[in-house]
Amino acid sequence: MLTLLEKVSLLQRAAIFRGIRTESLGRVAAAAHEISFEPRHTLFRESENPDTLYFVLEGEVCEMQNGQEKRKFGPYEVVGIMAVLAGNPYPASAVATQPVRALRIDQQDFYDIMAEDFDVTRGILKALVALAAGEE
Amino acid sequence: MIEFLEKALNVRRSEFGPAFLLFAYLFCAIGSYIMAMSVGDAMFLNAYPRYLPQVIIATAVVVGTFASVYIRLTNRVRLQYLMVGALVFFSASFAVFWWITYFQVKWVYALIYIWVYMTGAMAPTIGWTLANFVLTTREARRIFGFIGAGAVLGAPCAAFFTAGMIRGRHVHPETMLVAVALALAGCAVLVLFTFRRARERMQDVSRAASASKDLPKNFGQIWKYIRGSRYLLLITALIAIGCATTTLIAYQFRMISYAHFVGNKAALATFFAQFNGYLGLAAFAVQMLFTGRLLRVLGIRITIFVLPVVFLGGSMGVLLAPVLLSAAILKGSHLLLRFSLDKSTAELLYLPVAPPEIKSQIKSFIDGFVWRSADGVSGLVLWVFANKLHFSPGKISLVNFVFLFAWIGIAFGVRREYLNVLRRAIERKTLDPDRIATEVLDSTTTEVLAMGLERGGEQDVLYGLSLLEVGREPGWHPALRGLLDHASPAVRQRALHMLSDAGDIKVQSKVEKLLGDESPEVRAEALHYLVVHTGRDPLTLMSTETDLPDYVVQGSVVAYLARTDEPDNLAAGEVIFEGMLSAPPGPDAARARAEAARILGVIPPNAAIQRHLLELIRDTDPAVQEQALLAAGKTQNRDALHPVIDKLGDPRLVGAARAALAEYGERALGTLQDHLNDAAVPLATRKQIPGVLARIATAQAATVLANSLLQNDPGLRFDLLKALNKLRSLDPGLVPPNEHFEDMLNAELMGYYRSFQILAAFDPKGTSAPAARGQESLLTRALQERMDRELERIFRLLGLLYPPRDIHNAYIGLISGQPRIRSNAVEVLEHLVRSDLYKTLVCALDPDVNLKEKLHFAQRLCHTSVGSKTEALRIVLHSEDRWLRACALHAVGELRLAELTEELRRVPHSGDPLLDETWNWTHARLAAGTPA
Repeated sequence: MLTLLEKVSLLQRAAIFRGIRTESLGRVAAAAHEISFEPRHTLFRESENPDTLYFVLEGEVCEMQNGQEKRKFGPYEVVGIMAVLAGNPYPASAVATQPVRALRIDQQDFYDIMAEDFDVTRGILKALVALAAGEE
Repeated sequence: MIEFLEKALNVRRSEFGPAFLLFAYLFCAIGSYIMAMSVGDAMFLNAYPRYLPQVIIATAVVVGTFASVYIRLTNRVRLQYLMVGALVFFSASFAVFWWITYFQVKWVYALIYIWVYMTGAMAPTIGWTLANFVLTTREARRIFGFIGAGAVLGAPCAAFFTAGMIRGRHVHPETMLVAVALALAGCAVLVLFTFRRARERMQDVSRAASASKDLPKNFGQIWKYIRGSRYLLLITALIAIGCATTTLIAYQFRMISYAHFVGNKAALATFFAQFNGYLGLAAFAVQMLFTGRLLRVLGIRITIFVLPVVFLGGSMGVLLAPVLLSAAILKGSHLLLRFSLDKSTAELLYLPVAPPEIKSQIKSFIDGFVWRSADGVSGLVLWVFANKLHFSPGKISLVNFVFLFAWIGIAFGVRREYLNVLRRAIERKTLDPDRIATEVLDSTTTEVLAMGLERGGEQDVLYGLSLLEVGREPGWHPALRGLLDHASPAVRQRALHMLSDAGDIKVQSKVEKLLGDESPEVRAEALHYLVVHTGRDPLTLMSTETDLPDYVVQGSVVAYLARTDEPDNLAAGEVIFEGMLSAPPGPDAARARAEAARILGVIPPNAAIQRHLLELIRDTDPAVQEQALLAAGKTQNRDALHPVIDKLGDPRLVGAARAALAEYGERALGTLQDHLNDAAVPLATRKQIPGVLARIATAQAATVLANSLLQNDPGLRFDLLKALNKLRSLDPGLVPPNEHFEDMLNAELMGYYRSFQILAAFDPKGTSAPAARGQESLLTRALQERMDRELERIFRLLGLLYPPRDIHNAYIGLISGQPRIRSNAVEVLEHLVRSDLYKTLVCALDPDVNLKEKLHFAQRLCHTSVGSKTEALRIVLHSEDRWLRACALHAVGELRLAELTEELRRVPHSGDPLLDETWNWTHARLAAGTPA
């Protein structure tokens, strides 16, 4: 079981969390729960309401849309974050293609953290702006 | 009886004392002036009929000099002594003049003439100055009308008294000087009484007046200020030419009257007195009955020409038939219009002049200097044309025609400029509705204001409405009706209030819809409107079928009943309110309680029903708590202040608590300061207080922030600085630089260098510029973040000591990570801050300074150094910063630094889940012993 600081040092490797101060990232880490999936396990389905995001620690997750593979997610990548932030249904399903270890964060907890700690919100915004500018 | 007087006179009980004293003062002051003028003119004309132009010049010089000396003395002598001294001086002068007249000394009549006009200029000015000192601006707006009535009534009473005394041969005209002396002595006594009754308030005002340092102090500076504005120059010219013209008219009237009553001093004095008496009454009637209507119908663009055009006709009459009747008509039109329509028009011309302090300075300058100068010029003109060129009084009209046409020309210029200046003033919000002297808004001004209502956000429209409210009948304007659909509830409520006041019944159907408005203030206002204008019974409304939920109607009724202040209504309102609180369980129960809480915000704070506020703040439902907090703020309920501050620590209610505390304003400052500096108060609560203080945004709030800067928690220090920066950007005068900021800056700089030493010892690569940072360890990143925050605090402190915008730009450049922009920022700092401070900053921030040089400088500044990674970790393991301590523990475990095992045991960790967990993890890794 990971300690909170271990989770922080892992989470800070994700591009979307890189702009968040470590102490604020500690709040996200506190809401993150370790979870494992067998291969072919579906993390969430296309068009479902977005209630969770996953930070991949080990293994690989594949995003599938209309039966087609869309994108692969490896260690230190976040699956489902855009749908969670936008509040729109997941645009694609997420399926484990290998044994996966991940951190699971509930949408409501994530929203609460963003509401309580502006540094988290600012860090996410910075990352999104960088993404829009094509830096990532 | 007292209640009747309160309503009839629009004077509150607490204001009766000063209001009646000031009324009596102006009654006596104007009365003494009219008495003195009636007999003074007659006596002088009887003694020196040909020397009237010379005495007009002499009067201008003496009065101007006296006014100048008086204004200079106001800065050196206590106002009470100066005012009483001046009045005693005038009173004694008239007593002495009366005594001298016994010796048949003719020159004294010239002196009396001059003294009469000096008294006429100074005595009313003293009264209005006193009124401005005794009354607040809001009180003044309410009761100036009553006080002014003293002046209006004093003139005819004194005139008829004078006429009666002399006509009945009870007294000689000279004897009336004794009455003048007594009336002025009475004025002195009234001033003494007024000061005694309102000492405390006047001390405050004196301090406030002396604090305004940026305003022009003497006539020279005011004249320079006027010259800088085309509009002010035009107003000054308009008033000067008007004054010069009326002096010529007064000359014609006096000389023709003298010719009519030649040799009969008593008859002349009686005629002057009666003339002044009747015209005083007529002017009062015109002011009451016609002035407002004429202004509203014609607007300033027409009324500004009324006086010169009427004078043109009157002067033509005097030129063609220079007899008493034509002269009396001309002079009568002057008295009738000059102090009614023309005075109100002049007040409107001052409307866009801002700030209000400069407005009163300019008025004083015009009354004290421009008027006298214009009198002097008229005297010279009369001397040339009447004495040297031998123009008869009738022919002086020819000279006056020149002045009148110039007057009309200037009026055109003023009219054009007025609209431009007014529009600009509205856009810039430089008009203060509380300090606008005029009571009537003309149609021109109203149109300009109404245009402003059609655009802009809530604050713009509310500001426009507050200006429109200055007029007595604002509700007639159709622009107001459109505002009932405005997005802002505050605008809807204010517009409806004004329409209701104006009795506009055409909006009834719209108002009925507003009963379902989302805002309780609007609903209560709508209910008030319907009760007043349609006779609806609020209680029957509750049993009527409507589309609205029960609690909405109940809330409106409670708000309405509580506002009526009738005991029966209050009791009925309380019953309905308690019904809302105990609504049967169901989805509407919490909504009813939330509505009840909202209603408390529009109910007077002293109402018994307010006792429910505290229980609603403690309600289980956050929506109810939120409304209760907002209600506490709106009513500034003192009992609720502590619970409201406590809610700052609740993330769900922090927004409402902050808004409520901002509404409390300065009343909450003491308690907020106590909470801010009380270590027993949860940090989450304390950290919200600086933001609240920034929203209160007064000098006192800034002082509380500055005095609370010394805090152990760096986050709280940051919040305090952020709030101070906000206030400084809002108004630099709120946060003057002080030595605490310098001390704090030095401490923060030292802290920054210490962090740098630690980081350099732990991870030298981590000291590189932000853009060059990569995949650092957790501790490296935490140390970098601490330094980033320290740097921001340093620049926030610099922003309190130096121009904030320049400092902010330099900061943004320095953290940009782009070498060229960083170099530019360093250069900006070099020119901005003092050299020793620059040297300290540059060593830390300049990308050209290498690590060795930086560490050398840090060692000199901190008088210590950090020798190794282990030493750096030892220091951080005992840091006050809990997060850094945890990261250091994590680093020890991550790097398996067995040499720190003993140190680890000394690190306090129990009781804190984060430290506990990390300590155990590190301890386990060190115990395992093998590197990862």
